[in-house]
Amino acid sequence: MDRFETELVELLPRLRRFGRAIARDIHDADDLVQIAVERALGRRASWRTGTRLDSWMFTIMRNAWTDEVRMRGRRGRVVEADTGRAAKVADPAQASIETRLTARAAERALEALPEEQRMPVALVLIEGLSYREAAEVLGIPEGTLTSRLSRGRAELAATLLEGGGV
Amino acid sequence: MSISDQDLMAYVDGECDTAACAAVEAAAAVDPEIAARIERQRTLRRMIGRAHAEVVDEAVPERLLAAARGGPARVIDLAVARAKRSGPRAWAMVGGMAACLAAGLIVGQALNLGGEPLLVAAPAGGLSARGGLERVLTDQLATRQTGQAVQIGISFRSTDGRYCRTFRIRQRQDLAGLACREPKAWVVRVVTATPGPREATGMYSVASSPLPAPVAEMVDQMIAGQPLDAAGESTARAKGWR
Repeated sequence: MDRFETELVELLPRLRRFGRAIARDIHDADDLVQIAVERALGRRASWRTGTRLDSWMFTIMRNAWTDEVRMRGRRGRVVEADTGRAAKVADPAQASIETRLTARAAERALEALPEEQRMPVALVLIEGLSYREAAEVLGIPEGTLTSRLSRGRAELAATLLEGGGV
Repeated sequence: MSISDQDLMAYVDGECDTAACAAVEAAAAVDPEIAARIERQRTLRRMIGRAHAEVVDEAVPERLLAAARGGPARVIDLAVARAKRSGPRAWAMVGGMAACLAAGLIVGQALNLGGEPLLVAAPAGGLSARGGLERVLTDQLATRQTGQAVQIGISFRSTDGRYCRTFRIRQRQDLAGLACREPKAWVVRVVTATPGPREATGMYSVASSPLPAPVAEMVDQMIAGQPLDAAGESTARAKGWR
């Protein structure tokens, strides 16, 4: 494996996480990662060494997802609750029940968000990208990103926090 | 003074410029309602940040590994792949075992706060921060502390690229230690009981709470460059200390 491939392998766990946040279904999520990885290898010449590989990969995943949605007409598809989500917690002894319940509640709330808010939330709050980086990945102005992020958060707060709202 | 939701969000995400950050902090200092809104935003950040966390620790399916290597599927040892992903393990474990030994001496005295455990043994050996300690390590900026039981000393980037923070747990028997952000948890590299106020022994100390020698020595060994300043801490926190 060369350096590019090594870095790609190291990124896989995070790509899978981002995949789950955007695709909502775990099988779709891994398919999406695979498609993105294949595309990335096919056009690796366009990746500039020294720039963030994660942002670049998230961009490819976002584009692949857009294509996928367009192709399969999935936008209206009803996602079955919790399909295949018998959460494989890597270390059950470490993750308390409360932690798992909180994570599951957060995942459900995230699933309920419209896609245009879900992606900014996933990139900034889960993947830790800056506003600028997330806006670049999504191909939108930073102001649009922050307003979607803000609306998404208000929704999440209403669902997850006592007393609702922000 | 009113603070918009967007300003508040930028503050919590570490995305405000110095003036905007200062305005939020000034408003929060005099207005408990704004302070409460900040706290809610932080809670939400923390909750959302944990979504899908378990997938990061799962073994990556073989077909994805094969795809990333650009070749046909090869038989690989998943355990080896996992070990590689989680970084230089052997070194971390040595520190972890030392931490266990130190903690063993003081266990039963000070490992929980208000009935909530603060440290748990990690499966690979070593100790992970939990409860109030985990929350403070993740959320608290060193420059903005009041008299809470768990205090942050300094934060820094280690020579192996992790974020590390020193902490102090104030109780009948004070504890001081150093924890570094690993993919799954804050792993405690050293923890020691501090019998009482003593002279600062390391290069790095915080005015109100000198670091005990074992902690200061560990900091000196591990630190890359200088400790983080307030802005650096804020940025690191916004990125989840990764």
